[in-house]
Amino acid sequence: MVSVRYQHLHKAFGDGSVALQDFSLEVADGEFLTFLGPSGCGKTTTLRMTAGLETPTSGEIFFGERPVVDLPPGRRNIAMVFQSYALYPHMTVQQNLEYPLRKQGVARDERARRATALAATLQLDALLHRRPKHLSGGQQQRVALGRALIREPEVFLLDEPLSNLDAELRTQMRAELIQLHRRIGRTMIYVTHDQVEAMTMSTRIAVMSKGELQQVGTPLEIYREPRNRFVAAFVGSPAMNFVEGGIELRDGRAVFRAAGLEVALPDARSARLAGLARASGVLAGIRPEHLSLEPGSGEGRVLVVEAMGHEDIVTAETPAGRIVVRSAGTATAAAGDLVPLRVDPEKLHLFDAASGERLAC
Amino acid sequence: MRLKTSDSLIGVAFITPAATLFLLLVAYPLFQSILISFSAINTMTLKGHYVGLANYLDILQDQEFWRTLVNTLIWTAGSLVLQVLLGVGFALLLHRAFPGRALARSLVLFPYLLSTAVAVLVWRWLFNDLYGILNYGLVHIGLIERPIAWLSRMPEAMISVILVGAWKFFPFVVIALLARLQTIPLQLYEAARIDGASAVARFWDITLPQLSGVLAVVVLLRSIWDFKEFDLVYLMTGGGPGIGTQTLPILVYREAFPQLHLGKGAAIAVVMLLVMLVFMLLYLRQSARGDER
Ligand SMILES: Nc1ncnc2c1ncn2[C@@H]1O[C@H](COP(=O)(O)OP(=O)(O)OP(=O)(O)O)[C@@H](O)[C@H]1O
Ligand SMILES: [Mg+2]
Repeated sequence: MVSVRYQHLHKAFGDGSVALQDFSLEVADGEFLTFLGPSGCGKTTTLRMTAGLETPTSGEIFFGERPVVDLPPGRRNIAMVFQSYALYPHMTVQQNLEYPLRKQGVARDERARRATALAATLQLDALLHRRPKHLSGGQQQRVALGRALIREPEVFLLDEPLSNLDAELRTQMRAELIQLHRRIGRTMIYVTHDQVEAMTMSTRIAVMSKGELQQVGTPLEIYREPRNRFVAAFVGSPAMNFVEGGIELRDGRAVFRAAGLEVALPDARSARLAGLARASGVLAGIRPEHLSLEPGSGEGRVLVVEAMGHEDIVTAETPAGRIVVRSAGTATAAAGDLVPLRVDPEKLHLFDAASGERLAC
Repeated sequence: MRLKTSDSLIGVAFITPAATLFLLLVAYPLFQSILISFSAINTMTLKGHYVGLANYLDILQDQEFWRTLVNTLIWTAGSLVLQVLLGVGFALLLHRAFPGRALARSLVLFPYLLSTAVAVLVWRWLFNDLYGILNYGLVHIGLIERPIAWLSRMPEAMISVILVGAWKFFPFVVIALLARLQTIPLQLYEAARIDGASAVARFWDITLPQLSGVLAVVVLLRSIWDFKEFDLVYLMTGGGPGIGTQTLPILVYREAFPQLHLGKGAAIAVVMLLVMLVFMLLYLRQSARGDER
């Protein structure tokens, strides 16, 4: 079992496009770490460099203490699950499962024994003699997982393994992957652009954007204390509201002020914010779940109400811009209503409007 | 779904020209040849009479026929094996990225596009025992002591014909395989690399199985075509020395024209047809299986 350490990893392609810049991160032994980010941010490239399918332009990757950049994929003791599964089409399920063992020179009986045992745990036993194209997407997915599991590698790499499945199967496989990770306790690096997958499965999440690491932390840390505007906006659904304004001190208390919106910050935060007071240039981030249709901070005109059953997603127009509110209950508002808005001051996120960095408070 | 009468009429209308052409140009001559093969007919006068199976019995007892059949099999198998080896090799080479690949891909087609007559002319000149560059080169580097009469000695003549045949027809194999190679997903190779497969193992475990369908079709087509190849062999050696490189199509020609035994020539052609029919059936089965896949 090993940890994976990226040290100042940099990758530029022949055409000059930079996929990854100064990427440093340590994935702890046994951790389930997720690379999360929008399309094209370099998640796959990083994973492929970990696998040895791509060579970094500069920087190092360590498995434990061992530098691996010069090792071919077959000697890294890793397994990878591809988004397209990459099952060998001319081989049966059993042959697919056994292939990594065959290449390691494991004897035929032993191979068959392990493939059969694994097939049972993955509910593939009835399909051992089928070819991949005669399997459903979910079954193919399981075979791909099985082929990764069978050699008991030190590190698992998974590149959007669930993205080709339908919603129901995806939820089910998510749970199975979590259990699997708990059972085998190996280091897993998982790539996705789906924040729900990242939030539900990961020990820690590494949020990436445009080839740069934005923040690493547990799902809760990422959600509660996004380090910058990008992370704040990318994680959470519906997405966080952003309102630009300033911070002023009133009777020793810090107040966030924007057009038509005022939020008095709690005492503990006020003290730390005192030095940051300014008339403008502050970006407040408010998650829809931290707003309610009660008096306190301002008001807005309802544009749309999306009824989810247990809650309404209310979009309102305010002088400070459009604001989305998750309002618990049913029929909490109707389009055209003028509704009061209250921001939970404990949960207000403050960023520097120019740099997008979180303000220290 | 059931077709409406008007739909089936349109279908018939569409197929009629093709069916007519087929009947006129394929079925009728075929039927005629089979008919002729049961007669003794003089090629010049076209006069003759029905002789039943006499031509066939004649062939079966004819030493020359059997010798020619063996020649045909040797030529077909020899040039086919070389075509496939060269074809696979070049296809793999041309599949990799290198500067000038587009040019190389068109150059490799050259032998296939060249007219057989021109190709043979050039090769006969290369193989010539007196002034051929091949002998000159081999003597020069000391592999042989004196020039070899490549085309008038056995087995050199057969070897030469096979080599030229392989050279002329391997590009067909290259094109077919190259097209297929480009459709093999790269991720299969990446998965295999992660699974610990060496370059050689990846060729055997992925490339070859993925090519096998196309390869089977190519082999069957080329065996049919090589089996009935006339121009290349005839122009190279005229079937000689003696009947050393005489293949069945040459024998058909010789019986039918210089010897004026049209009936016997036709009978040999029908025997050839039967042999090729076996390959045809294999081919149809293979392509049906391909469709299913
Ligand atoms: N082989 C390549 N040649 C040139 N540029 C590449 C290559 N592979 C990736 N890139 C570029 O590198 C950047 C990162 O790509 P990467 O595939 O890592 O993104 P990703 O985060 O996995 O995106 P997605 O969620 O769409 O899979 C992209 O801008 C992409 O265009
Ligand atoms: Mg990707």
